Amino acid sequence: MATKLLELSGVSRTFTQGSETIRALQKTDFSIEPGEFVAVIGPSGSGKSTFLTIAGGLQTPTSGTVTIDGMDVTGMNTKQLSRVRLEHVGFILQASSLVPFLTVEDQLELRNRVTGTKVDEKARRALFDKLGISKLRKKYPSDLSGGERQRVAIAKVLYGDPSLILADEPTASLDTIKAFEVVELLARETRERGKATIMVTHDERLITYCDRVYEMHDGVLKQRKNH
Amino acid sequence: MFLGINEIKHDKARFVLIIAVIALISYLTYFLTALAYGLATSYTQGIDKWNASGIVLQKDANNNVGRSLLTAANYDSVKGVDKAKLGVSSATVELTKKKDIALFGVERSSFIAPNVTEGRAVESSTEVVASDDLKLIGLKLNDELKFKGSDVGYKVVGFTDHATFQTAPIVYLDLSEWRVATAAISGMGSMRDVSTISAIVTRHNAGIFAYDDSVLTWQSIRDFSFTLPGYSAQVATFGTMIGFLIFIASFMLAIFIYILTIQKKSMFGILKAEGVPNRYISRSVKTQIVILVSLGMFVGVVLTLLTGWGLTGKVPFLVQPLFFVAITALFLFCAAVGGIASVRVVTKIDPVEAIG
Repeated sequence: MATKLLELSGVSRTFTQGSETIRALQKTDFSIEPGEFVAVIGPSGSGKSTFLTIAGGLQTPTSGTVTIDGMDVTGMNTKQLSRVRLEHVGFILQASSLVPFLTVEDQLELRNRVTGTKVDEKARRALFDKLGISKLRKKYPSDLSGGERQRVAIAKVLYGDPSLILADEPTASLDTIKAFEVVELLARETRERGKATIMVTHDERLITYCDRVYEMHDGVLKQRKNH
Repeated sequence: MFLGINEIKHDKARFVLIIAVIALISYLTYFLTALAYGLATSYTQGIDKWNASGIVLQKDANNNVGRSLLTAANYDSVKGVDKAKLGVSSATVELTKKKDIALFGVERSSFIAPNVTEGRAVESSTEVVASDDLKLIGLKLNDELKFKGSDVGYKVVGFTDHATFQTAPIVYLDLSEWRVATAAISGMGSMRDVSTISAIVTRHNAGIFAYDDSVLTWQSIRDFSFTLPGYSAQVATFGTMIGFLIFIASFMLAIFIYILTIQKKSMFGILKAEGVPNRYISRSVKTQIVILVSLGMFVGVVLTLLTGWGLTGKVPFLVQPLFFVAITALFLFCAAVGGIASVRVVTKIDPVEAIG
């Protein structure tokens, strides 16, 4: 059996809002292995984002344990969690998660600056070639189209070499053709590099690229049978 | 570092404006400080350059050196101290324009005789040394200088610097000749005597200092400065004004820096979600603040010095390095406070909010 890159067991999350207790995520078990591309679909407010932020170590669950890349992150403090995210998790967000005043190549260099390492020029060039964004190296995010921006976001994530990739509505701002391109790219890279990717989306058409599909309703995560 | 500098490079126009605002705030503060300090100095620099400890005046003169009259016996009663006789009066000269001046009568060998920066010292009673401020209205070496009300001409044999008293440039002449000139200017030439002086300037040594305190009064040079007509009111007014200016400008700077950083809150939130540590974000914010404030204040100082240079002779303007250093330090401190406050907000950002 392959190692699990993410494992949630008995994870739930409740919020109190005024006098009401909201169960954003009901007791959930979930795991993903290298090379798997999993989609979570559901209407807004269903708990998708809560699921994703817990999976990515952005918030701690009310109960249950979360294991990222073999590490139990449940009891970690914010500093330790930050380090886990930096080294093991890559985020692709619906709005561009790029820094507006950095050029495309500097977006990748930022990681080296933060970790105090040298730019891996070979890896960066290879990524740019593979994702077809070599010509954009010197451009700023504001000069790019929505599709180009998401490609750069994917390049940025892959450059960090995380085990787990979490994509939150990565195609929200794209037209159908561009959306398919981006998801196809993400699926391909996930398999080739042995990453584990969870994509939250509400676009049913995109799930053709996924190994498994989950549906989220009122905080309950269920795997879809025919997928 | 990387973030802070790249942002400045990318949004050049925006950051030029931000630096311009900081430069203008600091320019205003530096410039007004130099003006006020220049004005205050022009009241007293003629007496500050004595390096004296104090001054003896006639008790009944109520600290007004122009009204003080001392006799030879009064002079002899001052003991145990280095002393110099001083005559003070005022006159008007007409060069390219009319100008009120202060007339100082001093003995050639006394310690309050002016240091000559151009030309030579007075060697006869028909010679004078003048403040170099009078060069700005056309006075030259070897010119003949006449005082309104007197027909006698004096030869200008030397100039001295930093010589103003109550904002008027000083003309120095022999003490004996000062009596003649002062009597002539006031139209009482026949009433002049041979021993009267206005004040005795003292410089303390190890001896026991004594004087006839029934008719005389001694005060330190600093206290004497504050009794000059208008001086203390002026120093208090400008001091308060500039104090408030610095206070308000520092606050503005702190708020400005705070807003500048807060605007980038969502971007920092995303970076935090990606695992970029707080320490890295704080450092880049601080680097940026240091760059902006240093550049802005540097431009402010340069503008101040250029303006001062352009205004030479037109208004009293003097850079006091200590004040400038203090203002700079205060501004940097306030910018740091604004920066730290914004960094605190940044470190408290919940990355979940940035993602959601």
